[in-house]
Amino acid sequence: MEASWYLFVSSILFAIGIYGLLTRRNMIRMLLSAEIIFNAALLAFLSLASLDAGYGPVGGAIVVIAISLSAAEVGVIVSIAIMMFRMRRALDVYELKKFRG
Amino acid sequence: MEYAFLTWQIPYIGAILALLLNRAGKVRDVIAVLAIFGAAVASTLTLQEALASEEAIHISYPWIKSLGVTFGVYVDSLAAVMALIVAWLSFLIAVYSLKYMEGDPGLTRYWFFFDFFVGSMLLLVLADNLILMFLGWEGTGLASYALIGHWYTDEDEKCVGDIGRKALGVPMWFPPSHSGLRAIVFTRLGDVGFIAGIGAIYYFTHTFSIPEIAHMVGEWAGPLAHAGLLFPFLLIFSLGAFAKSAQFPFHEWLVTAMTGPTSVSALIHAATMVKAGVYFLLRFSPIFVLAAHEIPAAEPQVHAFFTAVALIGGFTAFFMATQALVSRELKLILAFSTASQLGYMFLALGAAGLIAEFPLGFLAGFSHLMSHAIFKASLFLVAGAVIHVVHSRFIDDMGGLWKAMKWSFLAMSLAALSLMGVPPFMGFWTKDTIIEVAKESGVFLAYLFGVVTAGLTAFYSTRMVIRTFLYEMSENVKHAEEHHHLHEAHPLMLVPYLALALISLLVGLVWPVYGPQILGVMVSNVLGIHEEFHPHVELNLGLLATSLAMVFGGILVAVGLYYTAGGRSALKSMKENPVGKVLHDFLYDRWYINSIYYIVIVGGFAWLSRTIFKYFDSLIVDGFYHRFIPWLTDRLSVLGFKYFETEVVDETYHDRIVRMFKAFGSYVRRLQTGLVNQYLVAFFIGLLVVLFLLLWVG
Amino acid sequence: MEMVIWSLMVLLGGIGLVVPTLDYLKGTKVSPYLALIATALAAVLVGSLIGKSGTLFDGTIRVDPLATYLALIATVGAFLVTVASLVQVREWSTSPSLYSLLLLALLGVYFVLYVNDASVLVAAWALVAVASYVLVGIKKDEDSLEATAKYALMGVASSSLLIFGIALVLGIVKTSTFQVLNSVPIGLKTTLLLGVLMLVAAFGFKLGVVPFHGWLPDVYGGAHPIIVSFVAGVIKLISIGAFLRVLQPLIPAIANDWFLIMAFLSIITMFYGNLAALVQRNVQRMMAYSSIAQAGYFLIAFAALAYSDSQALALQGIGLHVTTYVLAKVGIFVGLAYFARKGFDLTLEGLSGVGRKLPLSGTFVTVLVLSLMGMPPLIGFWSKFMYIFYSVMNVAPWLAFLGIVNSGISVGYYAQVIRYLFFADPPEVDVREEEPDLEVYVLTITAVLTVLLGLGLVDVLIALLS
Repeated sequence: MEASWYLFVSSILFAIGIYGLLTRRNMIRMLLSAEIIFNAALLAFLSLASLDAGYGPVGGAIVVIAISLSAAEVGVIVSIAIMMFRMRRALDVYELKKFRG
Repeated sequence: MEYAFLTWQIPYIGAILALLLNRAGKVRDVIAVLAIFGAAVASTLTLQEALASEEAIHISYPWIKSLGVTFGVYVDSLAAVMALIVAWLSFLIAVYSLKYMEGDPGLTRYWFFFDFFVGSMLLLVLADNLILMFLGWEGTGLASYALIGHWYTDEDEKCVGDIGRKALGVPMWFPPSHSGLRAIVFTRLGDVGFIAGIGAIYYFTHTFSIPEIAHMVGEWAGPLAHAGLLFPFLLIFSLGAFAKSAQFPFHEWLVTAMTGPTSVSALIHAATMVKAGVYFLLRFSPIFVLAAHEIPAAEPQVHAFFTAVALIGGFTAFFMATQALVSRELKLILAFSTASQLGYMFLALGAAGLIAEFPLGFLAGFSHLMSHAIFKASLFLVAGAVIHVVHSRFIDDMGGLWKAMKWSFLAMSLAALSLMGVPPFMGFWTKDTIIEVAKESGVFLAYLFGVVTAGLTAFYSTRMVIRTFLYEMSENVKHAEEHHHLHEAHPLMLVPYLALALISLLVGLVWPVYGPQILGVMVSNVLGIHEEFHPHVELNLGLLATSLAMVFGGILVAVGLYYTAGGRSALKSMKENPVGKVLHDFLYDRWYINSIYYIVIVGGFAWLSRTIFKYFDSLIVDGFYHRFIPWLTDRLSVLGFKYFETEVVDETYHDRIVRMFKAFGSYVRRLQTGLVNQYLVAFFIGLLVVLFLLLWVG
Repeated sequence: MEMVIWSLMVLLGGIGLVVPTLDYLKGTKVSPYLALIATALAAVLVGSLIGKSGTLFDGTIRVDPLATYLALIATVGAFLVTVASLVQVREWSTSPSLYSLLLLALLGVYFVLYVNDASVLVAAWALVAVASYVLVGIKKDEDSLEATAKYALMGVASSSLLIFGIALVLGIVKTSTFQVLNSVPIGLKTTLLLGVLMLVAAFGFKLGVVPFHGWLPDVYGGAHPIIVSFVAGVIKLISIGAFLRVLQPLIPAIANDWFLIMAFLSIITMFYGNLAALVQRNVQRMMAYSSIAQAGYFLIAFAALAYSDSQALALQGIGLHVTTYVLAKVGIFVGLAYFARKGFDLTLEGLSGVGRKLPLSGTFVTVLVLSLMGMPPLIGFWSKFMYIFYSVMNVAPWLAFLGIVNSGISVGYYAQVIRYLFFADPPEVDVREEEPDLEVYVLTITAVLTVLLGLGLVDVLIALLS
């Protein structure tokens, strides 16, 4: 199980996440896709960090920090989703088209 | 020693005081005028100092060290005399404005920009480095914009042109707000060249200081000449000057700038700002000539540049004079005349670079600048008084005013005679020198333009005086007479312009005796002129005969056509004649240049961008966004995209010049569709594009 | 120096966290004043770091004069926004949270500006990002909702790119500290470029670089102006800081490619921003596109960093242009918030003649707009023309030329604002500038600084920066 395998998986996840983010209309689904991208990035981070003994542990630490921070981001987006649901009764991102041009 | 600094600083202080004293009414106005007076006094003291000292006075303080920009003044005879003329003329016009602008609701704004303008103009003249000069340059442009559009409420009577008239489908009447915008756009175009030139010079010399640049001619002119780029560089650098002084093809803004108050027209568009371009050439042409002397490779290119200047000047002089022949608005005649006379100055400076004795041509241009400023300011001020009395800008509504406005009639006649170049007025001496220099330069076409234009000038000036004061009274004037509205101008207005007209006569009278002395002072220590020059005033009989023939010929024709009954009926049938009509319209609509600009530049770009839209739109936006992506995702999922078209906003204001950019802007705007998914698509596609670009090129 | 950082953390973090508790639970209304005091004290604390350099906290934080200068500007901006907000957000139910987020975000900004290690970067970036998402939506009305949704969704994507980019870069340099990289091991250049690009995307997202800018017009145009003044004026600085701290050390290894990327992006960004701004009728949205264009000018300076002769000038230009930009954007958006509060519609037509009814604010907004336009002798002229454009004059004069052309295009819309403010007829309402209109004080300070700094203190600023 070398690093390149993990990197490969991470790229697949990245692609899946991007596809989801771009094509989904539901805010929660977009959030999920975004999280997939995020985790793909973290996976890549770890696999690259694992290649070097000196810097490896630091990389791991950074990943842990990032995971906890993503919790905050998720929290915010979910709150936004809740607010949207309360105001519009739907989570369709396409409804947000007041500002354009 | 600091008088030079005070000269340009006092008006700025005056501007701020005018703002602060917003509610003080007359006090505010007087303070603003006093500030100009202060500047005038300071400029006199500066000149005194400059004359007393052999070398040019150069005082500078470091300002922005990291860039080498200093804060200083460079006072040689050129700067000192120019500052003197500008300051005193501004003062006289300020006094005139006290009465002329009485009761105007925007007086604070007026005085603020008036003083701000004078400060900027003086700064431009006295600055010792390019950045400071550019600062003053921009300041005058800003003030000009604000003052041209002073009556921004765009009442019909404040417009220029016949309301409703179109040429080639393009409207030919302009309200003040539109005119202000035209002024800024045309002059800004030139400024781009100015900045680019400054940048290029800095690139070679790493300094902005004007005296240093003059001494280091080899550093910048050398490389440019050897690369064959000196000629285009000189043109581009001078672009700002051409635009500011309304030379072809930048002349259009000056015409419509007449929407501003007449005092503004006198100050900015006759006496000072439009002279900034001439001043620019006066300041830098000696340096260009130095370059030609020091660097052999530069000589032909500098020569080409001066030839171009002479030709442009000569053509502009002729071109604008033809338009003055048929104009029906008093201020427009004067505007065309100003551009035409500016053409003469450019002609002189162009020729100067081509003849053996450069200072001769230099002085020809400089002295005509001085004499023109005096008589043209006088003419504009009279025009303002007359327009005020008859409540119309059209000469059709004037006529027969000589009885009621005797002194104004006298002033206009004197100033017009000077403009025409009738001896012994000052205008005669200065214009004649120019024609002499033009002949000597060998650019025959320029000389020809100069001579013919003298005749045209005589014609339109005579026509102007006759139709304003001598003709029979128009309905409008008769009406005013019945209601006792005809009266001479108030002394505060009359004295300034009468004084200027008289000066033009008196200086002309003593010119043969004192002329050489005055000219000698003007050229005593100009930067870049190293040779000793002893000016003399003499007349070449052959040339004299030719030009006087043109002048008197023009006067006679005008008198014949306008003053006699037979002439007037001949005029009438000329206008009815189909050929005559075509010719008249051609000149009246300014050789259709204005219309061509709007059609080609504005319309052309609009067409171009529409075509590009269609292409881009169908191929890229449509193809990519509307076909490829949905197809892609359709293949991968059952979802399709719905795209919402944004409406393209119709622009509602009358600035057509920007329509091209707005056309592009609209296109760009359609890319902001409001859907976050699309933003994300752009995000990632953009990332990929940059990556490919990098890998492909790097 | 470590004491300073600790005290900043305690000050801003402490007050930031305490404030909502006090106001929500105890029903007091002290949050605005606490925020004012906190930002003022923070300014003093940051000021004490002027001229000092050194690394702290095991090399994860590095203090240097340029970063301190940027931090100072950020604090001034935050202070001014707080002052204006005293009257603007009085009626919002969530105003205590607003102040709390303001302070916490400011703290995050400091950390990004002083960052020297990837761990701190990730943490601080997330802090600022999350705080800003919430700030945009804090008013909790329809427009804010739309703005924040778009912002947050794009933001999460960009955060992921940040992580990915860091991963790649750190994988090559094999250390989490940001230090100068002179050459790339063979075969890894493409990977490094990919990583750098991702970081450029992540930082560029915040800055408003095209094509990562999608959210910006909607957020700046849709959120309440007082919030936008903070987001545009203060939060944007983290991207500048990140470019300087994270990416600049890597330039030596990829100099030519870096220049290429930056030049390309700056050109499309400048043109996009300026052209789109020309057709806007809503002034807030117009200013959003103006920010995009300004991002383009910053990129020119970044491009200049690729060449050692132009580096010093480019860095000075960045510092100066940040000053111009923060003063102008904070001022203009506060001004817009003020006009909105006085009942005017924030479109060009809606603002007709407002400058004649509210002369002080109108004049000051005009001064700030002129500064953005690059009119001498305001500071915008120096920072844009004399520093940024000149920094690339020697190496790529065509880029400077395009910058000048864009400045010319921008006159088209900036002039419109001035024109509608002053050269149009005002509506028949009775509004005046009154004593308690704090926004006017903010406008006064920003406009006066813009003029003064332009008139003579440019060298003073340069001294501060170096």
